[in-house]
Order: sequence, then C-alpha cells, then structure tokens
Amino acid sequence: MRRTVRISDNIVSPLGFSSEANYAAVKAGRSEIRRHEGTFGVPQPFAASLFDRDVVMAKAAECGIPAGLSLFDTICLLSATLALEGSGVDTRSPKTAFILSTTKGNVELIGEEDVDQTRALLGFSARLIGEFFGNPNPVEVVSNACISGVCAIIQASRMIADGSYDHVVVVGAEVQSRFIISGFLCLKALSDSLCRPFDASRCGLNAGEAAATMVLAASDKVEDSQWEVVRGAIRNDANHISGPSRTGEGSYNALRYVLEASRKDELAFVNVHGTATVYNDEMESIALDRAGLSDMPVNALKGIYGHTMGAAGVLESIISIHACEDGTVLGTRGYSERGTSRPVNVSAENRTTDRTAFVKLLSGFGGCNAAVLFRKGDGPGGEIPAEPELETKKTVRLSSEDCDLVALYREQVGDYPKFFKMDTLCKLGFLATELLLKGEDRTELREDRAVLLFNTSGSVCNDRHFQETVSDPEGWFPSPALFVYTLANIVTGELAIRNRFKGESSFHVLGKKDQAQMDRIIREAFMDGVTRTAVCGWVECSADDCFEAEISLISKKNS
Amino acid sequence: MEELINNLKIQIIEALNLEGMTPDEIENDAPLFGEGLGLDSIDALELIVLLEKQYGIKLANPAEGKAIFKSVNVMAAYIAENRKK
Repeated sequence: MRRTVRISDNIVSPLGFSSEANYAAVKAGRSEIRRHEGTFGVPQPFAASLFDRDVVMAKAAECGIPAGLSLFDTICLLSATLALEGSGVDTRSPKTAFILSTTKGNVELIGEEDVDQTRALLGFSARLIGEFFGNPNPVEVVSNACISGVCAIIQASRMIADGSYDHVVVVGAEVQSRFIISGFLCLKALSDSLCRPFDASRCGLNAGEAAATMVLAASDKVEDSQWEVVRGAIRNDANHISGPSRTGEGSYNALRYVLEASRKDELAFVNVHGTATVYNDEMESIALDRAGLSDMPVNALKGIYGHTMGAAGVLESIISIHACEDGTVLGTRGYSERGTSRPVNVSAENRTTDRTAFVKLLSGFGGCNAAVLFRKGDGPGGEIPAEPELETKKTVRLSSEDCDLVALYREQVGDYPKFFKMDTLCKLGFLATELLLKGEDRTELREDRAVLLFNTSGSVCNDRHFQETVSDPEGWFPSPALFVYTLANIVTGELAIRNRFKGESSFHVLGKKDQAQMDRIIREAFMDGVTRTAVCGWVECSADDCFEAEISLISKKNS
Repeated sequence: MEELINNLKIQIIEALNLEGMTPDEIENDAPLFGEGLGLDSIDALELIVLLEKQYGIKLANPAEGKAIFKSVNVMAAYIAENRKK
C-alpha cells in the first residue's frame, strides 16, 4: 500500500514568500486585508488582501521566474519553485506530476485587445508550469470552485496510491480582478470591512490573493515526523448551484466519510471554510453539529487572507500543518460572538494543543463540499480501496455539428424550465445526461454515484458573456445570473440537482482531449469507497455554437 | 401605470429567462417568489440589477428586495415612486 506524505510546502501571499513567514504572521494575527475603493475600476468599495505587484515581480525575478508573465502565472511558478527548492524531486521525471488548482486563473485577460485569448484558458497556465519545470506529463487543472484545493490534494493522493506517480506537486493559486470582484459584488457577497467568520454581525467575505504549493510523495510507511494525507472526500448537496444547503448535507457527508478514518481524540481542530457569509457559516455549524463536532475546536483563516478561492484548500492546509507542529489551534480573526444556530467551538484567540491531526473542510458553488484528514505519523485509515474493474454501460454524444440544444430539450425533456437559465456548457451537459439516463429511476437521492467531467475551455464561453456585463461602456451592471455560471463545475452541480446525485462531483480542465488521462482520473474517482457508478466524460463548449459532449455511464463490474 | 406594468413584465421575462412565458401569464397580484414563477435567490439578485439598469434605482440593502418584489403591482408602484430614469 502506497501512502501519501507531504515532503515540502510553500505559501506566496501578501504576508510573505514562505510557509514559515506566513505562519508567523498568521500566529501574530497580522493581515493585509484592506478596504479598497476604485481598485480594478470597480465602482463599489470592497475589502481584500491583495499583492503588491512590484514586490512579487521583484521576488520572482530574483528566483529566476521569466519576466513578462501575468501575475497569476508568476505566483504559480514562484510558489512551486520555492516549494521544490531542496526537495530533491526530479520534476523532469515521468513519475512526477503537477496539478493546478484554481477557479479563474488569468480570467482578467478575457476580451483584452492584443492578448492571445488562449492565455486566459486554465490549461495554458498549467502547461506553462509543466514546461517551466521540464515535466513530461499532461497538464491537469482541478477547477471545482472554492473546494478546488482540497480536491487537488485528494486527487494527488489517489495518483500516488494507484502507482501512477511517485511525486505530485499541487499548486493552488488565485488572483483577483474586475471580473471576480464585480461578480461577488453583484451577488452581494462581499463585505467592505474585515470579514467576521461565524460572528453574529458577519456580513460577507473578503477577497484574497495567494499561491500555495504542497509537494506530496509516495511512501511505503509514514515516519513519526511525516504528515500523511490520510483520507479525503468530495460530496455534493444536490440542492442549489450557489446557495449552501440548509441541512449541511454534502459537508456533513464528506466529514462523516473522512472521520471514519480518524482515531478517537486525535483531532486538534477542524479548519473550516468560514467565509463569513451568513449562509455558509450557518451551514457549516449544522454540518459540524450533525457530525458530532460541536465541541471540537474550529477555526477559519478568511479574516487573515480573505477568500483565496482556488488557493484556499492548499494554503489553509499548509497553515494548519504548521500550526499543529507549533502546538497551536489558531484563533479566528474577526470572530467575537457566535452567530450560528448550532454551537461551534470558535475562538478569536490562539489556543494550545498537543494533538497532531486535523480535518480541512471546504464548500463551493455547484453544491460541492470537500473534507480531508491530515495526520502526523503512522495511523489507521490510509488505505484507499483497490481499483475496481469498470465497465461502460452507455455513451451519449452531442455536437454543435448536428444538434440544436433548445430543439432537443423541447423534443426530449420539456419539463425543466431551469434549462433556459443555464449557460450553454450546462445545457449541453444536462441534455447529454438526460439522454444517458432516460428510463432510469431518478427520484432517490444517491451518494454512490459520482459526476466527473472534463474539457479544455472551462467556462470561457459564459465568462465572455459575463465580462461584457462588467465592461459595458453604458454602465457597470454585472449579472448575477451569468456570474454563477462562470465556474466550469456548475454543470456537475446542475446534474447533481436534477438527478439527485449526492456523491463526488468534480471538474477537470485538460490541455487537450486525452482519453488515457481521462480514463485514469475516472478510475481514480472509484477509489472513493462509496462510489459505485459515475456519469463522466467530455463537455466542451468554446462558443455558444461550438460544442461537443461525450458522456458515459460507468459502473463497477458486477454492481 | 399600465404601460409600466407591461414593460416591466417583458423586462422580467427577458432578465430571468422565463422561456415561453408571455406578459399576460404573469398576474399583477400574484407573488413573484415562493410559488408561481418558481424564482430563487439568484433571480432576486437579477431583479435588483434590473431596477438599477432600467430605472436607475439602487437598493442599498438587498434585503429590501423582499418587500419590493412581492408582486408585479408592488414592484411597479415602487418604480413609479423612485425611478431616476
């Protein structure tokens, strides 16, 4: 059995260029969250932790990162370079892989004149990382909204456990832009003062920028000094594409699955999502309470870093490891008085602990939730079930060459008005899945079915539509209905809601349609002990009139 | 007022992608949320954008929307009183 251990890490953030510098700042309660007025040309104030671009570029030049790259690409290369320094990992080896975790990457380049538009695609940034380090393997981007970082760590541990790779470098990164800030403003989700996770007066999140890298390695055993990625889970609420579940459904289910692998009394804390929106924190209090964790020390780092989105899962896991090493349960900056319906053991102050295991918890748009258990030293629960034999039950193909989506909906479905609110990527995935599952009983909620989709363009088609609403010279009117579809994984959420799938849901952006790579990732999804069947495949939409889907129902043999 | 109500219905249908719906099918007094049109929280946010874009009305607090979006009649009355364009 191959175990997954962390061998090095790095954080590049407005608080510093190393994990150590960042941890020291967090422990001291320092933050770069500031109120911004007019930043990115946005006409409303917001609070955010943003990079000083000149400082980052100077540090990058010092570390041999090429000039002329975007801020996003620069921090990815910088963080990975610093994490790999002295790690002994051969990045040129076919047994080393890179995973990029991000939600929007270089989205601010969309619609920019004189900029090659392929630079805005997530696959471009991932390819750049691979090329910079001379890595021979295909690029892989986990783009699963705000849970991407934890999903990437889970994915990496599967790639190691099944023998595909000996080292996986997980890079999580996000930069802010007019695009993202406008979107969260029109959702009324941003606060213009310091965010207050779990507090009675919380009123929204702060945006954040960071890159964080965790280098993971295969090991036959876990030494006393090593941190293991013990077990992870991804679960969908099957409830709403942007609103957190009122019952904490997916978050609770993910927690429950990873807690099965933890020893009684070993957890120091749960590092939660804690975005400081009214509904997220309330939802998490319910999930924690349902999981029997209402007394467990809980903390959130959004009052230090803001919401660093695609970086959050990696960054917050690294800080949590360093905190455990330091015998500390970090305080939750911004918290003062509990404002959730269920009890949660949150404190503004740092506390001490002698325990060396924790759970990292995240939730995101698309109804997705993820949890991962980290532990120092050897222990139970690290086994990932052997890879099962799989069979393809059925495949459906749709293409813009021979298909009109609206006509097909009217002919084949007709009873789901929400269809007309979807972007083209979701319409495509929705219809292909309707045809795939026709005749199947879809009234029962099921946790044993995963949804796993791939493409190369992410949500770029809808991103362009949203970008038009924020760059219209007639006025700044960002559309909330368009913004919620500017994440590729929303299509997995739409499928989960329609078909009542509460299992794993994830979206992967690839450099190109690579069947072998997709087959490997699909096999790895079945390493979750709960998954028995999966709706998976290709949903590519580069423009409203240029799309292609090939979606299959895949099942464990004899199930 | 009748013209405002009719225009508003057309704008709502377009902004919320209520495909296949005609202005006549939205009753002036029927609740917009909770039943009938099946609208959700994102639709409410989209209506806030509609107020600002079409009528120059800015809601300082999104929670105000709940009372204003009660029905087309209530919404039209609010617009008539507060419109800037």
